[in-house]
Amino acid sequence: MRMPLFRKTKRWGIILSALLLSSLLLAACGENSPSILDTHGPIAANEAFVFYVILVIATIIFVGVESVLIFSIFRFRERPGVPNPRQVHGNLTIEVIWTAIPALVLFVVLFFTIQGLYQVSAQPVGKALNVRAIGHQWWWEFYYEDYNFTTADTLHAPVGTIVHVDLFSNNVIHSFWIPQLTGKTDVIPGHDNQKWFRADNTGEYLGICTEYCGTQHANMRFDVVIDNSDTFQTWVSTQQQAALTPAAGSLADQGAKLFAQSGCTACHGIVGVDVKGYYDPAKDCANFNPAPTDSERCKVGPNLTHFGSRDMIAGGVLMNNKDQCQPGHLENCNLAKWLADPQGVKPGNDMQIGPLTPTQINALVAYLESLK
Amino acid sequence: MLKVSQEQQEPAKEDEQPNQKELQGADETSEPTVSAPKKKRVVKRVPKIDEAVISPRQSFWPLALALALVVLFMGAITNSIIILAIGVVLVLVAILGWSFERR
Amino acid sequence: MATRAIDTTTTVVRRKTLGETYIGEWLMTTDHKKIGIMYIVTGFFFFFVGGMEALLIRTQLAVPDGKVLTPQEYNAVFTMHGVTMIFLFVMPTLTGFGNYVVPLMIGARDMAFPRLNAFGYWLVLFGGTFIQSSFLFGQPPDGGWFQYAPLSEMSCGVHAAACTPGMNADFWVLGTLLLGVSSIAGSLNFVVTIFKLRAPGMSINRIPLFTWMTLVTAFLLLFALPSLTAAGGLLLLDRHLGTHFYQAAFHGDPLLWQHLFWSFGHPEVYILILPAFGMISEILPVFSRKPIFGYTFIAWSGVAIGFLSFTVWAHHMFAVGLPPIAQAFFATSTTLIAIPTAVKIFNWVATVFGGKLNLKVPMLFALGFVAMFLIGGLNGAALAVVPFDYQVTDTYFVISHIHYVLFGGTAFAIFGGMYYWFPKMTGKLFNERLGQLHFWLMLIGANLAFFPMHNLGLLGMPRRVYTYPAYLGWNELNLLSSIGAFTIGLSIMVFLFNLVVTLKNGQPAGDDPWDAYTLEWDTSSPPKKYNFLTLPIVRSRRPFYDKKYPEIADWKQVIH
Repeated sequence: MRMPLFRKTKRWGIILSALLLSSLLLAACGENSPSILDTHGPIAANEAFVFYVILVIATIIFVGVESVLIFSIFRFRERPGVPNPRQVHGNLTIEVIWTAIPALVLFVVLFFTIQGLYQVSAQPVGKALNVRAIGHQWWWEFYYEDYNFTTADTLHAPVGTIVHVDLFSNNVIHSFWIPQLTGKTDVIPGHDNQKWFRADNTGEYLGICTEYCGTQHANMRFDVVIDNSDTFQTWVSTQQQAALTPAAGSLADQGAKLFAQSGCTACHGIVGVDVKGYYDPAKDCANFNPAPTDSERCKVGPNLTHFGSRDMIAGGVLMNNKDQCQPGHLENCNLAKWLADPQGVKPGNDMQIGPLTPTQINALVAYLESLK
Repeated sequence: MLKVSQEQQEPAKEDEQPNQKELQGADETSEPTVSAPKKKRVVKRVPKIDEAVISPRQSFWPLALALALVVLFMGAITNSIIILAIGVVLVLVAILGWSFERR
Repeated sequence: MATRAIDTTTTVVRRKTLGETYIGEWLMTTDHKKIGIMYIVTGFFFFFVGGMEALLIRTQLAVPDGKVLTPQEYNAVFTMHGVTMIFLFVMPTLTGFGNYVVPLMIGARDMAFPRLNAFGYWLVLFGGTFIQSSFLFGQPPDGGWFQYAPLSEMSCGVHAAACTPGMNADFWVLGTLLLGVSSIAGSLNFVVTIFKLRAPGMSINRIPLFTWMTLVTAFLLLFALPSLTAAGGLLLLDRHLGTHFYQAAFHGDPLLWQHLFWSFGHPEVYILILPAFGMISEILPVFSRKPIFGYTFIAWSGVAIGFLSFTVWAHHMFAVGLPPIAQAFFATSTTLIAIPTAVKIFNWVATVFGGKLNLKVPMLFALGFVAMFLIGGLNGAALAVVPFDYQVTDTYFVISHIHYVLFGGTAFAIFGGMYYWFPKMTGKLFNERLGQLHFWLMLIGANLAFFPMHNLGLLGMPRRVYTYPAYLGWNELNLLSSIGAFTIGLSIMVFLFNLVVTLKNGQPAGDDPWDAYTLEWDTSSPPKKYNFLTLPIVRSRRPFYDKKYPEIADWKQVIH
């Protein structure tokens, strides 16, 4: 045979063990990953179960067919003295059988497919939390329909409660996905897509935009925080309040004045400062593609009323590391990095501001992080 | 196709022998030569068919039309009315040239 | 013949006309063989362009927070990678092989419409140049190869809202329009040629499988391209003439784009794979020394795939919120289309089983195709399981599927075809050792590059992202994938080296280096301009085999 490299079993042994060991390496990856197999809710569990079924069937077919192929390559390779093979043109019986059996297997899988898709689409009866998820370019806004307030980048929900999500976009198509809790549904302008999910464990999970939506599609993640009911209620009450007014004369107060007077209010709303209350984007921003205006209702940027309570900045491009944001020690403060150069951090996004001095940044960071 | 069949008598035999030679391992590709026939036979003289007659003729109109179309589209995408107009003219010329080409 | 006697006829000495110069012969040719070679050369050129784009992508993604490309550059690169590979590499190269081989396989002198054939080629060259020139204008298409609306209507630098669209999407629409015209020209030609110009005795039931698959592909192109034309046309109207087909604000619907596009897009993927199936069905029997197992099933499963491919398009849209009953319908049709594809794999394995395998390079690529396409077929069938698709659609899992079938499938088949038919086209044999090196590097590289993407999809990595953060556990797999991509690049370097070395002083191939079965081998290498001196005699599916081995000829054993 023309490949003496593979004749010796010792070499096969080395290759196989190298492959096995490297597969362990792959298993080590994936810590902290938003894995669809790391399920924390019934929908994700359902969908992960389906994956395992597919994996088993696919492995059996793969091993079966590939081993016949590899066997044939070794067994029937040309050697000196081997006669010409029988010129078999086909065998109707075998061909019918190997058409019928895969068809059967596939139809069984199809049955579970259709059953599964109906199961995850039907929202179970019971009390539900209603949230509207709005896809912007390139960040997520969440309007809590039951409580009339809005957040950005962070979705809180109580454990064990059904969350009903209405999906809204007035720009391009996005997709709402929380791998550990539910599969994705696209957010399409003009369509009122809805989905539901439930988390059965408290914790923080990652949400991801999964439809190419332009330049910064890569940095359009959101934080999903599942609390127990009490913590959730506390959070809701806090979010419904207007923004905290900082102590007069403090650094945060200087930041508040900067915010109000330097043009930030053109794109950002803070309840009690430049907007009077929260608004439902689906009702108020359905005139598509609003140009940046001073209108109260449809600001281009996220509402910052409780920015200090969030874990993410700007669609998750940076995490909000508040403990690194002590006044005067902002070297590792992500918010400071963002304010210093939003275009450098997230090129192409809508925040185009003139350069801020370190003093200004110091004050703004103090103010924004105080908005718990 | 009809013209070729006139030749079928002699060249059919000429073709077969070179092929068999190759099967036995000869390297060079041989032209159909008139090898000495095994039986004595009258060699029929048939007019040699010119390659050019049985093959499709060359033409530059396909290239011309393709180029013209791209000029047209360039005009469209650059919003340049001049290039667009040139493109339209070229396309028309190419279509007409193609249609009226003598083959 | 020159004589030494005085010639009483007058001879004219004149300059060569354009058509008689070397360049002119190529520019004005209508010979299917020359056109086929030009298609293949152009296709490979664009393969390098698309390959460079792939290497740029993988360099950017090799480490988290990559700074090799800006987001705008990355988005253009991944868009053009898709467009170049699909429209400018795979389709022209497969058309090129079809052009070269099909008339020879059916015993014809040329294609039915020689000038139309040349036109199709020149459109690929100029249309491809047109769409690549978008880089020179600084506005390459950047909305993905599928250009979803309404993003494609808003291609602006900074903010998507309220700005005039740049040329990017226009290049995409006009470019694909030009290339679509080329494909339609080619398809018309193939259909008429295959139906009308077969040698006597070659019934449709006896045409080689590569010809069968080319025929089905031609019909698919003719019926699928109108959807793309419509979709693109409406997009142009929206962008430039103020219509609102895809704009929800004015009661249009973005989903209309997706339905129209995928009505083209799904048959398109079968257009990209069926001729490859045909090539494999030619190579495996020759190198196994026995006929293809189950010719009828393979031929008709190709036709079945052709018909069914028009019924499955919305399986690309399972996440858009279609009503469950519609999703169930498309899940069913997708399951149905998996059956003929599975059957083919079994038939190929059965062809190899019990044969006398000559493991030359074309055979290695054919066997590699079967192994890789199996994986692609399995992860594709997984994607048809709708609840699972909800989790992995639009993630790297899909990218893995695409590349197993298009690279592990079609690209492997194209290289197999190259090594198989190159001796016929040029009269020279590729260097066997270098070919083997190419194959193994490519097989290892492809698996290294694309298998980890299964895991990445399961771990939550979405598609079309210019970078990813370091704390999500995706780093090692991405690096592995990038190493695989560069390994593929290395294998292509080996191929190029082999090409140059062979063209300079390659071993002469002879007319029939592989002891093959079909008529294209019953010619000189390279074939004469007129292909066949006399009409070939066809009495079975392996006419050349019958001619070489008359005692054990097919028509004496079976009746087809």
